Amino acid sequence: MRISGKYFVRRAFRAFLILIVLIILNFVLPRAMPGSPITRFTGDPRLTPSFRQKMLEIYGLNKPLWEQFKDYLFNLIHLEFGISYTFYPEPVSSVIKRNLPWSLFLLFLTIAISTSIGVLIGMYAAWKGGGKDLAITTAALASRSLPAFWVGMILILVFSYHFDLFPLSGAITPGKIYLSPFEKIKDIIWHYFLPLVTLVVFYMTSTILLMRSSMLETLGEPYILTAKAKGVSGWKIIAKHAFRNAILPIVTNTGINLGFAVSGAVLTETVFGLPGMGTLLYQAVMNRDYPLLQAGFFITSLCVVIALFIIDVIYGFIDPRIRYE
Amino acid sequence: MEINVLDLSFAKIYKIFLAFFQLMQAAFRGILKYIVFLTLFALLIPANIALRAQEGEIRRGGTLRLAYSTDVTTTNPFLVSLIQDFDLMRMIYPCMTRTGPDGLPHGDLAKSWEVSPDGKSITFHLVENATWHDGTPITSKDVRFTFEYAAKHGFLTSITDNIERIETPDNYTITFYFKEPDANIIDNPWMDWPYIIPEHIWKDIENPEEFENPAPIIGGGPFQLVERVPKQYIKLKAYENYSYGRPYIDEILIKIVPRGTITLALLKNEIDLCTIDAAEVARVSADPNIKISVRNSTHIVQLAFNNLRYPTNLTKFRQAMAYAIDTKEIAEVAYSGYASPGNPGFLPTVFEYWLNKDIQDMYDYNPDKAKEILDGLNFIDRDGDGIRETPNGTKLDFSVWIGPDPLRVRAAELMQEDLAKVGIKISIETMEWRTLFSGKEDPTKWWLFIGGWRVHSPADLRGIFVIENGSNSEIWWHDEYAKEFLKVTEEWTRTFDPQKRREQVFKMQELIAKGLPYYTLVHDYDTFAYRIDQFEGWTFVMGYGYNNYYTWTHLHLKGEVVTKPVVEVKKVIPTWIYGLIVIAIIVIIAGIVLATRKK
Repeated sequence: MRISGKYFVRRAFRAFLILIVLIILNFVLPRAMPGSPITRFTGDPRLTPSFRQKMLEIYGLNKPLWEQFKDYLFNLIHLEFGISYTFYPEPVSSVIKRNLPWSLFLLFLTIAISTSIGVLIGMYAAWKGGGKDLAITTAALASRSLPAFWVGMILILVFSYHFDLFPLSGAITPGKIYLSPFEKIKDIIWHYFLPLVTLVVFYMTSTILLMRSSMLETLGEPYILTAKAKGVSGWKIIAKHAFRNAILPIVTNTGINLGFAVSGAVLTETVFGLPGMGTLLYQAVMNRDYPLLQAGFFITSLCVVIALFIIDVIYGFIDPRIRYE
Repeated sequence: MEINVLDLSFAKIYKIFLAFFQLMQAAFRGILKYIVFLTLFALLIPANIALRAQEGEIRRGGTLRLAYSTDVTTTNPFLVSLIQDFDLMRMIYPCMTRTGPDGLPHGDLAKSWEVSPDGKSITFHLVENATWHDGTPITSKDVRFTFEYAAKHGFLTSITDNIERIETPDNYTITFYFKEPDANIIDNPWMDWPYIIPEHIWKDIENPEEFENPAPIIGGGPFQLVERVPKQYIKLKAYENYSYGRPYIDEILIKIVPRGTITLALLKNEIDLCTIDAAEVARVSADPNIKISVRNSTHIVQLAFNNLRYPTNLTKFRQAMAYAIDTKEIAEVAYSGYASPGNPGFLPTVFEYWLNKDIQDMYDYNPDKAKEILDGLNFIDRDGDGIRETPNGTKLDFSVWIGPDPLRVRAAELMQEDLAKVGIKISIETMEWRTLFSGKEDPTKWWLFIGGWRVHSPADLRGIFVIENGSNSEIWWHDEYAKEFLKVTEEWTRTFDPQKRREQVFKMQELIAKGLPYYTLVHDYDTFAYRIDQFEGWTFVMGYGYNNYYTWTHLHLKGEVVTKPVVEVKKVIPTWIYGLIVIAIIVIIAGIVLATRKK
């Protein structure tokens, strides 16, 4: 199966245009928020107006806006994002390098597990129908309506506090000296178990519902009836014939989720005290940390654009109808 | 028979040895009985003394576990901005003086100091055994370097702008000469800030604003920052050669814990100290290993008026609003009794020495008085809708801005009801802090907001209301009382007589109470919860709570009699070694005697 070069180029050009618009919005939007980065220096008489003025100069905010935009573009071309106001004088790239792996670890694992389980459960619900379908759908809808942060807090209260099975917060045990990398991995998995459960439940429910409805639609197609008439077994119809068509919306959904994974899961990370892009971007918003916000939004936008582009290409492979449009 | 050596007096010990000696006489012949007797004597007495001495010593060791809900923003002492940044720096770096448990300045790097009669200089005498964490002695050169370096790079300007010159006649004496006399230095000879930095480390750093100051940090405080995992934890180790004696605890471990989980962490024995809300008191107090301490704080919750916008720029209107608000009800209902009605003079009531008691009931709840004042201003409800209008027809319908603080929102709701009774309507708008702070810089956008302030000393009264600019300092509140306030605070910075200073602080409070740029609603209490199962020696310091220098350096593992902390760190020879030496001497003498006696 091959896709035409024209298809590829068209998609790539579209992605490029989107990126240009995002670069401009990325500069404008953080500055559109009320407040400035130096308002966090208000309130303590030791942080005098002259100190605030000095911080403005250090942050480069005393320059005209067009000059700030010029610096921003120049840095972007060199893939530099400047210095973070929140973690001054640490560069933004260093701050993101510290936090991004944690978010990717959590979200990729979440999406992999939730998609795998969600697809299977969704297929099963569509296949079995009746009472089992009703039970699964009800449970999925009920879980979906629970806020992820609330689920996290309940898990902490029950399993961390009352049963003392998991830590209350954090990614690692503070101050612990690890005798081997394996011990550190074990400690991290122990800390991430509850956050993973929280997010898997949240993400899985949408996958279940989406897969179920997509599968039901596909199962209504005439060729499925043909397969049944030919005596093909139930599960083989589902897995071999219907699956490939029904999976398309899941591909899109998963691709978009993976793209957004770099932005972290702010509520879950906050509840569990985990490092990651979610809390980082939240802090950046609260502190009006323009360089960090710009970097965070840029990376997220870039990843989503790339993810959508990849999905477009994958679609072209999976569904021949699309590449001939 | 079990004998507890500690229970024995010396007389009893003598009797026991006498009995032993008689036993030895029967069992051993000649010189041997003396050797055995003296050996036992040598062992027992020092052991007794050693064990008695140990009974008075404090156990060393343990890790104090603290929790911050937000990570520090920096470990660079020049770039601190959050309370936790300041707290952390205080553990690592020395200051000239520190706040004592009595709220007064105590020596830190400086053991003593004198202010010249004209207030234009201060001389500090440094402790002579202070060292940096790498063992380098701390001298007056480091102190001088700190201020000159800060001045060169534009930091600490509130202090360095007034320094004319610095002299260091010897390694442990330093004198600062000021351009203008500053009487505040008497009450606050640079307590807990600024932080003194080591010259030998910082002299090579060209751009301090770009210096991250990574762990391990070379400071001179009681603890050294040895490890930091951002957003997870900070580890500090006790400094063995600290000038006031090594802290008893080995480590401080600061964990970054989400706010919602901090109390659970305390209950689960993962941290040793935190502040709790009033709603958590019942649950936390059920744990016998946790002690709760409710303290009147240095915090203020105030209603701020826009002094540049009509009608909140009218002093009488502000006074009317003050009479109309029942601050006692706000303290009891919104803050569940964990607050006291505010001092209209703004200074927290915990500063008892400086508190002007004559003005405390100036604005006791009196809606009739409020109505009388509003009527006098011709603010009347002309259209019968329950809301008064100004003479030009503008309704007394304002918004009050509040940050994301549920207790302040409750306070505002009670205020809303009170003001409605006198014909003033307010609507509550909650918003994020940065939005509020930036929004209030445009006086056309707001009327009222509810904010908070933590006051460190009476000097803050000037700092809060006056925009410092040398002789062109401005006050942002504009009425007859404001002019007088500016004058009184300027005189105060040059008044050295303690009684006169106190009177001036009373006057400042009186002027604030009359002018009401802010109306203090309540002083909310701090509620601390700390574990008492592992440690004892928790010390409260006003303005710092239990997380302060004295707790860090006095806290120790439980079970021992508290003695005064060791002033000098010296190697202590265990007492049993003395016994061993005595035995060795006896054995040598016995050996010589045996070898030389005639058979």
